[in-house]
Amino acid sequence: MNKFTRSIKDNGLGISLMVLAALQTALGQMFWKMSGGEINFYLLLGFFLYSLGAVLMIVSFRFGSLSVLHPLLSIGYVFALFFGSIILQETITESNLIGTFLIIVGAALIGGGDN
Amino acid sequence: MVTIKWILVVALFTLFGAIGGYFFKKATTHGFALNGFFIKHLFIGGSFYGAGAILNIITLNYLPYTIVFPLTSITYVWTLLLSYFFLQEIITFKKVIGVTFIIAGSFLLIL
Repeated sequence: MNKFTRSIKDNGLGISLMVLAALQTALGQMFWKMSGGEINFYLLLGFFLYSLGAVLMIVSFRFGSLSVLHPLLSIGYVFALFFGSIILQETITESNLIGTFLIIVGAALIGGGDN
Repeated sequence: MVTIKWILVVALFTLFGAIGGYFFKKATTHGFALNGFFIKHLFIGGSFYGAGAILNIITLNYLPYTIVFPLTSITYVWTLLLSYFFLQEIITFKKVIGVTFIIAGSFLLIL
């Protein structure tokens, strides 16, 4: 097994949980945005998902290196861009797409870069 | 002078975020039993994480979101340093390039 796949395997559970945490925080922020700054169902749902994301992040730290897992939280930016464009119909520029691509490549390098 | 002040503030809130992550990692060293060790490290981590978030929000009142958002990813530079010095983790070339890509990518997200 080469170094890349070994790193992914050793940190596998931590990486999965961290990606899930990033998804929850991105969803949480999206619902905050949808709440329009008022106290309503969306705001509470946002708080719930954001807290769930924080708990998942802490749990994930148990299952891998800090230097691999913490930077992977930035995958949340990619989710946020996706939800922003699909659900909130926000405009995505060409540089946004390049930025998303860079973050994904960066995350992959870190995930497979532990050895 | 004003610029130097904000560079220091950004350095500080990103450092606080990374220290928070470090203590969260420490907290889980022996699993998730609700003992003194776990609660103490969780509390310290939460305090740094929270302080970082508050400083971040204060900074947002003075600098544009489009600047503060990508700068937040500098947190992971501190994470690499803390992992190296206090957790004896290996900082590979891949990790350094990966964090650089994430910071560069964050700036492109706001354009």
